[in-house]
Amino acid sequence: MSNHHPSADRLSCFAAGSLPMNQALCISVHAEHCPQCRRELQRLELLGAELFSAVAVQRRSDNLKTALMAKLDTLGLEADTGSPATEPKPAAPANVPRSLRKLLPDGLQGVHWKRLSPAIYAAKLCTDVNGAKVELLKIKAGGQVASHNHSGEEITVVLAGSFSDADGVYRRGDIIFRDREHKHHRPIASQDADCICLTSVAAPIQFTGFFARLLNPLIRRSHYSS
Amino acid sequence: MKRVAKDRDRDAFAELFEHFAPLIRSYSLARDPGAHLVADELVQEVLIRVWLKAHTYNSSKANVNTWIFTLARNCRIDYLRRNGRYASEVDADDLFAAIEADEPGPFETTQQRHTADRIQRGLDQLPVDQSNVLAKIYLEGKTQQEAAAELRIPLGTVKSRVRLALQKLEVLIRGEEQ
Ligand SMILES: [Zn+2]
Repeated sequence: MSNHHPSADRLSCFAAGSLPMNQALCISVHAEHCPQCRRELQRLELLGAELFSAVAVQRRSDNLKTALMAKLDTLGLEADTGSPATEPKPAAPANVPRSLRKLLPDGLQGVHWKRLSPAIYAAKLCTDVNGAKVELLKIKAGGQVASHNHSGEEITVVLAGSFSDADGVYRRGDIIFRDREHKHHRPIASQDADCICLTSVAAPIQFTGFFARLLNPLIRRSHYSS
Repeated sequence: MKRVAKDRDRDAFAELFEHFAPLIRSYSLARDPGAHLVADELVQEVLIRVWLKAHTYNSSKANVNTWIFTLARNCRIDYLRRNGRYASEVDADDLFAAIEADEPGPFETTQQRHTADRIQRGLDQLPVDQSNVLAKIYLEGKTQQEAAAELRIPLGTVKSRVRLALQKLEVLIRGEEQ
């Protein structure tokens, strides 16, 4: 269980704010479920703050200070009335991680699933500027995803249910990284419940099984099938 | 900081400005050298957030440095997102909300201060090749791939230098596996 965490160097990129958005979303969802990684991230933010405080300073313009102080007048009133700077929060769907709420305003129930096979459904969430696709994937209870190669890194975070592959069992909050070296893993959802995952794929995946090859033209727009 | 939060003390805010504006400015210029307008914009945006959110600042949770670093980081991510570096509607605040939600006890608060002190001392002694990588990632906002390309070293070397630095600075609780 506890070895399904992001590596330290990846956590530090997240804390630094330099991780590509597709990866950052996955780390954020994991962190919401993982107190251990949250603690590490807090410490990695301390490191960021120390680096930030030690940065070589350049002279500023005093105009900016004057302008900003003047601006406070227009903000002053608002500031006293609570937190008006933050827009009213929409009623939060309970089972949706915080960082996905804007992408899933109607919660997991409101997702428009696209059927890829009897056992696999997908819903696209966003595409990062680096080309990485972020999707939701639903594997019906007991369903299996076809063997596939990754031409780029695939990150999976379990949002609901659980699945297993040759390397282990993954439950809610677990995060799994797979790159080119990991071939032919065949994830199977547990028998008792549908498994919903957040996935981010850096580049298109090629399916390797014969049956999968037949399916490939049908699933161009997604990365998964059974 | 307390005076800003409680009394909306302008002199106290001016002091914060004196200290942090140059840091935020340099932080922005580290990523976009020469982009002085962008840097000024970030200074304004961060300090306005400080003014507006001062009452939500919790000194037991983070020192002022850390709070302002995270504000600057989040503002910069949102700025880059608005300008097409990230394609997503997700705000930086959404990404980091889970980390901020934790309420540390007094023990964690003390521990945090010790950690910050240790990091501060350790940074001076870090080998240049390690601190360069940290600067790329934290200050210049580079991805590991970008850092590798600019420093002309393999990606694996970037990762190992980060890990070595984290070890030396004793940042991690769990130590190093993976
Ligand atoms: Zn974790």
